[in-house]
Amino acid sequence: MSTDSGRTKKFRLSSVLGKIDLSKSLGGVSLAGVSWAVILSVVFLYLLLPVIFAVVISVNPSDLYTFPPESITLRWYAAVLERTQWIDSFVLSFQYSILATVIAIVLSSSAAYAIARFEFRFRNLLDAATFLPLMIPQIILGLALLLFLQLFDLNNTLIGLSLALAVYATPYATRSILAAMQNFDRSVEEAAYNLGADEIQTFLRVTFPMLLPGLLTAAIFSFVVTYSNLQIAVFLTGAGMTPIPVRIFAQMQFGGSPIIAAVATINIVIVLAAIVTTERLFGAAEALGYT
Amino acid sequence: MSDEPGSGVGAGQRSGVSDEPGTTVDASRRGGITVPFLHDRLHGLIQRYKQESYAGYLLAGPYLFYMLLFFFVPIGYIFLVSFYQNVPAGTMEPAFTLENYIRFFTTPQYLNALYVTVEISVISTVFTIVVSYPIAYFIVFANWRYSEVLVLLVIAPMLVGNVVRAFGWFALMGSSGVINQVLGVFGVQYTLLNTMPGMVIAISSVLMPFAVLILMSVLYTMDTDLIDAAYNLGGNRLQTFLYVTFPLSLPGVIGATLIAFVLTMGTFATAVFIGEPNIRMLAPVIYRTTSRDLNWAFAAAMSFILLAVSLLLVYLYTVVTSRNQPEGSGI
Repeated sequence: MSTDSGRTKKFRLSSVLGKIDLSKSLGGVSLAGVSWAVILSVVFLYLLLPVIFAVVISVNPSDLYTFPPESITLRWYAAVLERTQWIDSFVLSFQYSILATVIAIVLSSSAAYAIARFEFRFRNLLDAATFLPLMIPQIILGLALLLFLQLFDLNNTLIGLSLALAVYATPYATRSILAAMQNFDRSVEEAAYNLGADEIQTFLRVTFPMLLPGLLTAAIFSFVVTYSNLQIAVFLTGAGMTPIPVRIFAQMQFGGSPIIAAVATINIVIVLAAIVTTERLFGAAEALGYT
Repeated sequence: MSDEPGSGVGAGQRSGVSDEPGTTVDASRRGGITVPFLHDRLHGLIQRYKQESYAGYLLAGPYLFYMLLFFFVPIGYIFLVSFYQNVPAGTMEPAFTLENYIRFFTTPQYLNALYVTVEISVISTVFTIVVSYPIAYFIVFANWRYSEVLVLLVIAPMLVGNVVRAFGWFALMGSSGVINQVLGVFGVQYTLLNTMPGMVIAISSVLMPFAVLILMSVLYTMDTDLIDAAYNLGGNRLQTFLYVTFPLSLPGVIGATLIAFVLTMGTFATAVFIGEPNIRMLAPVIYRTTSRDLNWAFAAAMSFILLAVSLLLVYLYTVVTSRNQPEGSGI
């Protein structure tokens, strides 16, 4: 729809923009550089502020969230570790996250392999459909899985929770494995075939080791998103089974407390440790294709 | 794995005549494979199935089955349950009644929650895209040494989870929180907790990582020759961005908008910590109806309405955007 009047309007704006020269510099500091620095710091502050602040509260002796803290204390952490219910929640969260991760990785890796390596009808549809569990409001997935799993008496069990959260983890798992497979240099496989290796040998000795970083990144991603999921877990748990996010949620109903901040910080440390490990060992950003 | 004799024989013959170098390995060269029997069986299976048109389905089969069982069937099941009759004891009775839907559409409280949910979702989505775009653009095009660190900084909050961030915002926005203290310095008395701007701020920070990652993936695959051409033709940075880079990135903007919108429609932790009790979104209402009132049929009906409204708006959005797309821009 490029009418003539639209076109002149476009170029009128363009001539205004043409006068703004961002490559100018004031006293050696480039204008573009300064604007980027300002934009980036504001946006990243916005993104990270709630996380940073949770850490700050957790070492603040005052329970009114005042800032800056007058001194530093570890008593909220001690309070967490003293209560067996928090410890039980941590253990439970680790259990179902590991189970869900295993399920998600096994399913997603073969699906991703099929998408990346095979030609079949509906391949593109399947490729797009791997996003589906992310493409519906999460709360609906939680309720749907509750109603479905209680038909088999699986709600409020470790198995039910793991089966349900594996669904939620598959988009993350499939996408990171697919990214790894798309970066894969297939000429190495060709070389293995030419040197006389058969499919199984090539897979075990060439393909699998080369995909391993991508698989581990996918596993860590799946673990972490499962571990921190509330919307699905909150439906599938009940008396005696309270994962960490659900316990935080339940505590918040009685008002916030620095103990929650301490638990949140422990979660942050777990997640950061996972990310740093992946990044150190395999370059998570690279494995995801963002380089 | 299905063992259809007919197709198996056919496939076997085909692989017999094929002249693949990998099929002619003698046993002595199979280093590392310790179970020759299994190896031969597996090798035979691979040979038989890899040329089949359904080989991809065989590999994706477990995944497809799992998604069918634990995603599509449960979603279909809540649609069914939404017509059931609620029985007060915490169970429900199979029936076909529109009672649940009628109750929703005749109670102002529920309609209002739906309206607020859509309103917050639209505003938060727009806000999210506006703040996410510069980050994605910078990471992809700036060639900065620490861009990879920025990627990790974007991903990290996403992995920390909604609950932790909602709690962080709750503490920041409270009447004794930092935001109030900072505003107090400028003589402004304004508490963000339980307000619409507070909701948008908190929700958008949750959505940002998703938006940034989607925008980045599109910006990465963009044809940079076109951008170079714009510079060569004398465009400065702003002109090039507005007339070349931004229009080319529209598929990413659209994709990010869709994900952000749908995710906000189901906002739960933030809705409870920041919005309630003044601002009621639909997700907490669904949760309470399920877990406190034990009225599963009504909760199912509300979920289905939420899903239908989300999909309808997504559909309208894609129709509008695809109509306004210039030809050949990739959508």
